[in-house]
Amino acid sequence: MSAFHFEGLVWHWPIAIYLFLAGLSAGAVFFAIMLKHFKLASEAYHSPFVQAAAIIAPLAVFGGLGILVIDLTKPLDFWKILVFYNTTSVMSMGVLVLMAYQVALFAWIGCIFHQGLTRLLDGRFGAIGRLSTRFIQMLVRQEAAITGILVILSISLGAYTGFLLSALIGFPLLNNPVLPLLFLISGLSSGAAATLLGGVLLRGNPNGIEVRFIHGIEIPMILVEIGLLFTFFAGLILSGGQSQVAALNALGYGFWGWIFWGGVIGIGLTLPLAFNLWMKVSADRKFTYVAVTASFSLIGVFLLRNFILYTGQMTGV
Amino acid sequence: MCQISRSLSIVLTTLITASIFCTLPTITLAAQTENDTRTCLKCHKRNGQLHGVHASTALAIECQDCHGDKGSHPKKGSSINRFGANSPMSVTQQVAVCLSCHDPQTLANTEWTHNVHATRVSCTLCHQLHPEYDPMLSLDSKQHSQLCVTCHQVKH
Amino acid sequence: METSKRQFLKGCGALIAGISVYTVTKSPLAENANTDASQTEVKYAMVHDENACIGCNACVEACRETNHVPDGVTRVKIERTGPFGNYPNQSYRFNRVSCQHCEAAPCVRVCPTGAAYIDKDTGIVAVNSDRCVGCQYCIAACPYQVRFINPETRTADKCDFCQQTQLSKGLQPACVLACPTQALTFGNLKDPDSALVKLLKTKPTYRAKVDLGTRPKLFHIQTIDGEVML
Repeated sequence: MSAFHFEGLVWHWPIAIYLFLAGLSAGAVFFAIMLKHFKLASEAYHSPFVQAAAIIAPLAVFGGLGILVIDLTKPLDFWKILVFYNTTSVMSMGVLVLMAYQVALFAWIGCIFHQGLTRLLDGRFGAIGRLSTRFIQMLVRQEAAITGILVILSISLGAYTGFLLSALIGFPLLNNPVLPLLFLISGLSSGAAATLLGGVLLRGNPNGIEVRFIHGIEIPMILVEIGLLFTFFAGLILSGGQSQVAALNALGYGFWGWIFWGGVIGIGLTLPLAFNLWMKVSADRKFTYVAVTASFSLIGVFLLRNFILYTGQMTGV
Repeated sequence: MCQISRSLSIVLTTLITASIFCTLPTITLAAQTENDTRTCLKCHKRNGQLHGVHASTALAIECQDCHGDKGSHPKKGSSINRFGANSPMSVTQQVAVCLSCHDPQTLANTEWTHNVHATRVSCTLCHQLHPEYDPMLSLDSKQHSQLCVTCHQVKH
Repeated sequence: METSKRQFLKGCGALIAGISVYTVTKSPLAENANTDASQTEVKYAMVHDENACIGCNACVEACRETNHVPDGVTRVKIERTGPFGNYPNQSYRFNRVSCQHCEAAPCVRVCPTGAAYIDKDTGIVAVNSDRCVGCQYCIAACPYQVRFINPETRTADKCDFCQQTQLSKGLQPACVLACPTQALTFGNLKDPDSALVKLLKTKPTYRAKVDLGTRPKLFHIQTIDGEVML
């Protein structure tokens, strides 16, 4: 049995990339909001990390949706998903969340960067410019509500990437109540990593208040993720039957076994955790340190999405 | 006396050797002009011709290998082997002739239906080995399933 | 005057947009879903007698021809296990794999556009291919793995008991008619006099993966041949 082609495989790697990017977008937004709320307040707009999140989040969600649309057998009919809804379908509800998320995301970005945007529009583009300025002012007045909605939507989006797979009752590894939580937490940590990486690439201070804040959340998050992974597989093995077969098939041997232990556990969780623990609170953080830790986290989450998607479809009930 | 006994012994040796040759079945075919493919084809010019895989010179299959000794054929009381639905031979006897060369396991690997028909149907009910091509070898999936249906049709 | 005209135009525009979205949203095939579900008198089901089946694939070929199923994909499969026993006394087991027409169909539940639906008049799980975008969620969700993307229409496809091709003409499904050993029995579960119900009441049957709560309507009569498997 080949790692990427086997009987019963329906969803291929584009779906894993989509799940990765949607979770990443949600995570980046979540951390940008946290940064603004707890540390930066009105200074948020000139933080390279918030700027990075504001670039990454829309790009990731567009990229993910683009891949999803191309992966349809009838890409030109994608509008039917937007027109027809089915309340029992996780995918349909996820599309609703995605649409609302994008609206809230742009509204929030408009709020954060309202000063720069107003300056850009000032005296230009005639009536449209004036209208836009007024619209942005209206958004700023509603910032608290927009932020609240966006937090809820980003968490929903992160969890949705897991629910999408856990609704597949034919595959015990996917049809697992821990999966949405696992995908939410790993999505948030990939968003944090992307924000850090983007921030330092935009010449953000690698020893700044933002990096310390995010790293402070990262350690508990990695520990939670390890706990969730343990619960996920321990639960499957204790369920017996095909659940046990699926778990042991995934972890036990072969290509995906290596990806899990080396990629997800090793590169994705252990190394960033070790780096974080070695780096004393007082010590200066360097560009390379932040960039490498963030890249490892991103690689780990990306591999986890592929690992779950492929090994999940390997064993049916 | 001595001379005579020597020539006698030569004659005896020749006779004994000849008789051994005659009784050995494999050599019989070669020795007796009465019982080889050429003899059969004197009458069976059309329907006796063997083409296709079984006619390969490397196999060197003679009519008698499958159909047995001519015996009194074409007179009455002939014991010649005939194959097919009207054969006086049992299915097992007919199949046994083919299985003297063909291995059941190999047949099963090529086509699973061999297994379940082994004691029920003679090979020749589906296969033809005299023509150039055995129609069974070029069946498409539809013809294959129709072949099953021809025998297995339950009357309504 | 000027404002009222503008408002009127706006109102008209909104009305037209609303009506067009509404009419597009309604599914032409799911239309008969409006009839009262409890009142339906027809609920189609099928029984596959694994003792009668000989694995000839006549059903597969008939289905392909009747429903114009392209090569490389199929709506029905006969899965063969074996051989059991030793040569020359061997046997095989045959299992029909096709849409189970679940009462609680996972494919219908996950379909984002409603392209997969249960026809309330017949209980048939069907596909409205005009609505299908090919996300393949239904294919992944079906625990019986009987759905596939039709390479010609590029939409999800599967057995629909020949709803369009045979049932509409008052004929039995093509596979049932083609089966030489009458291993397939098709009929109305709600009709106590149907051959299907009589068969279900005289022979013990099983259905696949009932523990998933799918409530399938493809019944199987278990093979008695072969060895006992654990």
